[in-house]
Formats: sequence, C-alpha cells, structure tokens
Amino acid sequence: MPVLKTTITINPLKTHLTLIIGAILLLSSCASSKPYTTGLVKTFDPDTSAVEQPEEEPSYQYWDRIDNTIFHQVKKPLDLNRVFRFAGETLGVSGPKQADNINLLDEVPESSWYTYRNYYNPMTTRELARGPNTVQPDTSGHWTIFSAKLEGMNPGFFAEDSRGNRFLIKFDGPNYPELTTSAEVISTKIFYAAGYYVPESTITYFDPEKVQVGDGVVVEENGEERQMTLQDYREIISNATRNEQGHVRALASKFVDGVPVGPWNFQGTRSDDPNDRVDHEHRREIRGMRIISSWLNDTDRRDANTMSVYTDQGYIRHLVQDFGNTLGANGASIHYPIYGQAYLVDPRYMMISGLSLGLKVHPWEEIDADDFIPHPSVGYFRSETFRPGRWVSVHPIPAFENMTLRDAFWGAKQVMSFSDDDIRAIVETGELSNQDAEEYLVQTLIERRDMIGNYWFRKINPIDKFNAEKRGDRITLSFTDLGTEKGIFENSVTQYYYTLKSVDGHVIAEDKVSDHAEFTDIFTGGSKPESQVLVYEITTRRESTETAETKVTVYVVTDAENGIRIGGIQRQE
Amino acid sequence: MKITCYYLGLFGLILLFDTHTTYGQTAETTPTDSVTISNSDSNPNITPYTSNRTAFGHILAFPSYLFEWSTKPLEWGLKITEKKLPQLLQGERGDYGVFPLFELGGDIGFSYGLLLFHNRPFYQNHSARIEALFGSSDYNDFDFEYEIDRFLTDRGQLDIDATYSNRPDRVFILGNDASLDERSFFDREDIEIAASYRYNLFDKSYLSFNSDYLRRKIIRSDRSLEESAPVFPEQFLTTDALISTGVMLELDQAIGVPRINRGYRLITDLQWSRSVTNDQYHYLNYHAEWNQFIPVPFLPDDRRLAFKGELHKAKTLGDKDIPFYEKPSLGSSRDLRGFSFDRFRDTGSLLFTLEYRYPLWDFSDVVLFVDEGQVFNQYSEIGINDFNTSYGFGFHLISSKGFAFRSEFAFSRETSRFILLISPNF
Repeated sequence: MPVLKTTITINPLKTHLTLIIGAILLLSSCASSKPYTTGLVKTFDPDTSAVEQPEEEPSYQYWDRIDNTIFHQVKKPLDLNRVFRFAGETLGVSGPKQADNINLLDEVPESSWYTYRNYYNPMTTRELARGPNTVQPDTSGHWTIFSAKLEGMNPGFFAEDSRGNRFLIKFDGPNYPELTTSAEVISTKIFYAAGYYVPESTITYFDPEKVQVGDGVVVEENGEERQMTLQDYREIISNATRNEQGHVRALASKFVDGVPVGPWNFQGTRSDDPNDRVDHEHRREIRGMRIISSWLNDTDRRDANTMSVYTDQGYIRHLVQDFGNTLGANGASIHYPIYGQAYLVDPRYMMISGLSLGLKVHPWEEIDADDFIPHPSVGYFRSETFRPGRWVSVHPIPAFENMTLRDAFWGAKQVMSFSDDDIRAIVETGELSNQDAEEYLVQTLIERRDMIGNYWFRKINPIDKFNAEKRGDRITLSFTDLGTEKGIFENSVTQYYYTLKSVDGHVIAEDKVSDHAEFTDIFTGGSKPESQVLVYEITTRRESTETAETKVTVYVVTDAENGIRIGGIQRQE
Repeated sequence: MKITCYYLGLFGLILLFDTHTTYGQTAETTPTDSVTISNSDSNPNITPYTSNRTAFGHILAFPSYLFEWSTKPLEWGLKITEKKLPQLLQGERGDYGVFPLFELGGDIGFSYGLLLFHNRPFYQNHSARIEALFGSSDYNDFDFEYEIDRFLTDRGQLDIDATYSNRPDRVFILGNDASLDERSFFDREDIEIAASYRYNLFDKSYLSFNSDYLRRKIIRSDRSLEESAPVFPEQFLTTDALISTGVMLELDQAIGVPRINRGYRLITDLQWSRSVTNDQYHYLNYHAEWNQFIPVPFLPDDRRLAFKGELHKAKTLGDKDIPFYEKPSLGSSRDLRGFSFDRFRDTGSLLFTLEYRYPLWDFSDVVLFVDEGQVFNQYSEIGINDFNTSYGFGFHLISSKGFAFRSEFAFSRETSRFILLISPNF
C-alpha cells in the first residue's frame, strides 16, 4: 500500500503568535453566523421605529476636523483591537473589520440612511434628472426673506415663495458664474440616485424685484445684530449671475420635511436616538460613500455637511447635504490641485517631503489650477490627476478610513451604475449656459467613473447580480460581470472558473470553465434532494490583464416550498 | 495535545466573554460542516443591526478610551469658543479688545498678562496697544505703543513707544576667545521712550528717523553666586541715562508671498548716542545687513536658499566710552543660535547665515541652517579661523500672508538650544 509522506515545517514562534493573536481576535469580536440563509435575506434594517424627538444638536465647524486629523490618529494605535487585527491581517489570521450592517448577500439593507435606487432598480434618465425634487420654487409670485447671512464666504438667505414653500437660496462666486450652483445640483442628484437621502435642490432664476425682506429679520454684521434691510438683500445678490432677462441665478434648496435635529457624525452613534445602533464608521453605505465622493471630488465631506431630520413618522432620517465643494467647485471658488490628493494635514506626504530635503516634488505642487480651467463654470475638475485608490477628502473621515475592499467594490458598483446617458441627463440639470463646459463636465465624469471601475474592479472579482434557476435536474447560475458589462474588460479575454459543491463539501463539479457569465449543471447528488444548499466558488480570469483572481462564493438554496434562490454571497478580498 | 489545550482554553474564554452576537455579520465566517435546512418563517427584517464589542474588546480598547476622555476638555473648550466667541476662531479681530498673554520659556519659564488694543482710538488712522506681562519681581514688561498712520504725508507713519521692563540673568562676557567660565550675570531695569518716523520711499522700502531715551539700571545677579561664576564687575553696576538718535534705510526687494524665494533686502542704520546724566558715554553704532534669496535650480521656487550677512560696529567718539550692553553681541535667536545668549560681545560683530528652506507642507517649511560669526574690536582682528559655528534645523509655520511662527533646534560646540518664536530670523 503506497504511503504518502508529507513533510511539514512548523515555525514555533509564528505558530504561537498566530494562536495568541487569533485568540485575541476571537475574544474581541462578536460571534459569526453561517454565511448563508435558507430563509429570507435581510433587506431592511428596522431603524425607523418611532422614538421621542431628540434635542437639536448644534453643528460645529472645527472639532471633528481637528479630532479626526490629530486625536483620532493617535487613538488608533491605542486601540489594541485594531492593533491585533492589523497583526492578524499581516499574519494572515484574519481580515479587516467589515461593516456591521451588511446582509448575507454582502449588501446594505434599506434603512433610515439608505434606500435602493439606480444600481438595484435602474432609474430612467427622467427620474435621474428629477432626483429628489418634488416642487420647484415659484418664481411667478413674490419671495419673502425670513433669514439671511451677510458675512462669510457664501452669503445667502432663506426665502418663502408665494406657495409657502421654504428654500435656502445660495449663489455662485463672482469669478465663477454657474460653478457652485451647478455642482450642488448635479452632485445632489448623483448622491440621490446612489441611494442616499438628500435635500431637494434646483437651479432657479428669479426676478430680483420680486423679493421682499420679511418683518423682524435679523442679520449679524461685525459681531452686532440688526434688522435686515432691502439694501442688505441687494448686496447679497450684487455679484450673482444673471440671465439675459436680468433674472438672478441661484440654487434653491428646499427645506426638508420634518424637524432638523443637527448633523450626524462619521463615527459613533447618536446617544439620544435608540434606533441608531450601528457605529457610523462601520456602516457600509458610509464607508462606501468614499468611492462616490472620490468620483465627484467631494472633498469637504464632514459632520457639518450632514443633517438628521426627525420625520413625521417619529424617527430620525439621515441626509447628506452641502455639495458646493464637489466637481470643480470649492464653495464660491475653485478646488485647489491638492484637494482629493492629500489631506490638509497629511503626515504621510509631510514625512516624504521632510526626509527628501525637498527633492520630492508632489504632483499637486507643480500644478497651477488656473492653467487647467477650461471654463469658469466647471472650475478645477480633472480626470488626468485622479487616482481612485488614493483619493482622500480634505480631512480624514473615520468611516472612509475603515473602508475595506468589499466596501469599495460596493461603492464602485454604485458609481458604475451611471451610464453615459445617465450622467448627461443629470449634468444638464446644472443648467450650464456654455455647451462646451457642459460637455467637458460630462466627459470628465465619464472618465473618472471609468477610472474607478478600472481600478476597483481589478482588485476584487466584480461579478454580481446573481440569479439561479432550476429546470428539472439542471441548475443554472447566471450573473453579471460588472467589469465587462461596463466595457472595462473585454469579454473575449475573460473566463470564469468555478467549482460546485454541496454544502457538506461534496464536490459536484470541479475546475469548470465558462466563457459566459452563466453556469448550467446537472445536479443529482445530495442527501436531501428536495432541499439543498449548493456552493459555487467562482474565480474570474482575464488573459493579459492584471487583475486579482479573488474568489466569490455563492450559496444557492433550493427547496420544494420556496424554489431556488441565492442564500448567501461571500467575496474574497 | 498542546494545541488541543489551546483550543479548549479558547473555547472557554469565548464562552466567558462573548455574551452576544450581531445579526448578519459575515466578515470571518466559514461554512459549517453540517447544515440544518430551516424553512424559517422568521423575518430577518425585524431584527436591527447593532455594533457591539465584547467585554474583552472593551478592555483592549481601554487605552484609546482613556486618551479620548483626556481630549474632552479640549473638545468642550473649542465648541464653547465656537459658539460664544466665533470671531476668535475665524481670525477676525474687532476694532478693540483684550487678549490674554502667556509666555513660556524665556527668562523665567512662565509669565502671563494682558494685551489691550484699539485700532482707531481717536481717528481712523490711529491705533494703540498696551501689553502687560508679569513674571516675577525680577521679570515684568509693560509696553505702550501708539501709531499714527499717514502722518504728515500719506507715506509717513509715526510710532511712539514707552516701555518699563526688568529682566534677570543677562550675561556679561567679552571677546571672541572668552570661555564660558568667564561669564558673569547681571539683572537690569529699563525705562525707555522712543519715537520714530518712517517714510515709505517706494514699494516696501523705507527711510526712518528715530530718537530714544533710555534709563537703564544694572544690578548684580544672584546667579553668579549660585553658579560659582565670576562676580559681576563693580564698575558696571551703574544707572545710566542715554539719549540716541539715528536714521535707518531699508530697501526691500524680496519677492514671494507667502514664501520669499528671490530678491534681496538691505538694511543700514546709524545711531548717535550719549549719556545725559554725566559725560561718560558718547558713541556711534552702525549696522548693515544684507539678505539674499535664491531659488534652488531645477526645483520649484519654494525650495530656496536664504543668505544673511550682517555687520555691527560701535565706535567711541572722542575719549568717551561705550556702555558694555551697547556693544554688539552674538548668541541669540537670530544669530549664532546654537550658543548661549550674548555669548560673544565686543565693539564689532560679523555674522553670516545660510539657510536652506523647503516646504514640508502647504503651511510649513523645514529650515536647515548654519551660522558663522565672530566679534572683534578692530577690523584687522577679523580672521577666517575665528568664526564660531552653529547649525541646526527648524520648522517654520507659514500663514497666507507669510511667516507666522518658528521652532528651531540649534547646536554648537558648547551647547544646544530650542527656539520658539513668532518673529522671523530674516
């Protein structure tokens, strides 16, 4: 009888270290359940129960930026969970900390934070162009200003139209007509289509003579409060863009339904909201937002640019707002070349600069933004300098820092769900008067979108939208290869390798190859033919293309009562 | 066997610590060996997700919790400031106000006080400020400054300054070759009133006329005794009253905001001084300084060299004398930085400084520097081998308007020094 002799070399130190770190990780993390369900897959996180209305939290401009830039960075190595997890990753004992609100299909269930839109239920170009908007400001009647801000970078006011709808009215900077208002509207609609809750935003042109200042409106000037005058209003609109009829161009952002109760934070939970149970830095839709923000160069994403609203139904809904620092806009001005490339205080690059004695010249140092502004109305927004894997906001955001490859894939597929026509339809709602500027913006968004797909879809196996069918003893698993669907990779060089097993490990089909995103197998095995769990382990290989050949494991559940369905998906990073 | 024990131990610990589960976490899951098909009627959509950490996880995170709690006072302070005094954080200052002053380091380690300012006390073009800094009975500083812009002409500016200060532990040492063992210490008490008229010739270039009254009392310091240093010479324990007047020319052709990267700056001044209470002192002081800024070839302009050459000379008139403290010295935050304060003193000083400045980041520069300097009595005494060397590195904070703050580490053959200042070297 032949004897198979195997020599195994064991490094005792590494073994002990691995065991210790493994033990610590097991103790510090919560228990896991099986990777599939034979029942229903969770599609909704019930965080919409009626709760008591909380006090409004003030919005602060400075603390989160300082905290995330300095103290949060010091705190990270002091959290030994993080340290051991890092050690575990290095030794191959464990993976990164995944999001806390992902279901067995590696998706985000709907909640007060997120709802399924364009990727899951493709929207028409008309729906995309409409975005969250339900009403337009009525410009036929008079507007009444009921609050205003005279000072600061972006003076503006709040007005009520003749129908009683209330809007925040903002304007473009004097040197960049149409830039900020268009960026706000376009990015708001993209975020909306990606599934986030956002305020209604629209471009409006109003007759400056049909605006009046309401009674008792108080403004602050040089630290002193006084009654607002019509002259103040004229000052605010003095530099605003106007059309041929002399009407003033503005962004009208409708007051959201419900009661604003302050911003939400990018880490932790809100203590006075019992529904808020998942740490925000571990929410998939916030971690994955980094990819959507990178697409739009949404550099000023931070606590103050979010909003929580106590709804009429008695729960808190979470909105993302203030998109005036997206695309080529940086408030009333244009983005700096460094924005999106490095943090405002970035020890990584500072160390390189310091140690290289200034010989290292960072790419953004050599760029004069003014040389790369094709049109004032699109500002500084480029694809040539965009590095999808290295994009950062101006200040660190804990949720973005925690983004794993799986979160990034989730974000990238949201971005890739926008077709060229979708992008064009949304950009048109920015109402840029210069057609060349509009086309530049469309093309830059398309290029940046494709760069995101090209980068992230190489890092992980980008197959998704699985569907299983059963006909007799034949089972067909089909899926969408997002890489080829969007033209990132060619079909002709792509092959799908898979192994089919029963859940108890019995191999039904091994190392099979398919040129198409569809596998059909005859299945006769298993101990309980009427109720089975089949396991597909799929790897995608692309000839002459550098991609990570990571595995996607799909659990197909079939039983007599409920038929066949996808019970679980696991993505290898 | 040993491994089995590990796993048994682990299992026990997990049971002990891990008291809850989180729905739907798939991060580290592995397929189970056996499966029970449950035709579950349970609706997963009624169970909310929750982020939880085990007791052991909290123990591991405890150092980070401690650190976070320690930052809470800062968080509360900043948030209260933002709500109550927003202009402080926005860099806006009203026309008048009061600010607290704190001085760390310096002569006595810590001092505190107030700054009062008014930017148009009587007229739009007037401004006034009062600074009061209290340290100890040996260290106080009161300063009143009044400035009238557009005085006489649109290009003129009049400054009036009155100061009372006392400071401990000044160093007395003479000569380029004097050793540290020869130094002795003194305290001083000053009353000074100065007026200057500055006329803008063109661009950033000025011609200034000034006159000054100084009453200075020199007191023996206890530090000489404490450090067994030589006793401060008796003949210098005087109270002098001096008047001086002079003229200064500044030609500033330096270019670059916020980082100066090319051009030059030339400063020359001449001061005539004499004592008013007796006939002991009568002398001239003249000074010339040249700054040159050169970008490093093949690199962006913000990598630049900065050079300073500075000559300072005091000359007696007739057979009179010069107070020792009016003789030029080297050893300060703007010349031989690696040496102790006023380390070298004589009737003349010569200094060369070369700095390589390059950006660490948008708001900060790294500076590498070397200072070479010597003091002398006669020009003929200047020798190439008599230069004293100090060197070091530093970090400069740059605001949108230019230099804001510097911290430098300087070294020499004798000592090293850490410099933290809001004034630039050059």
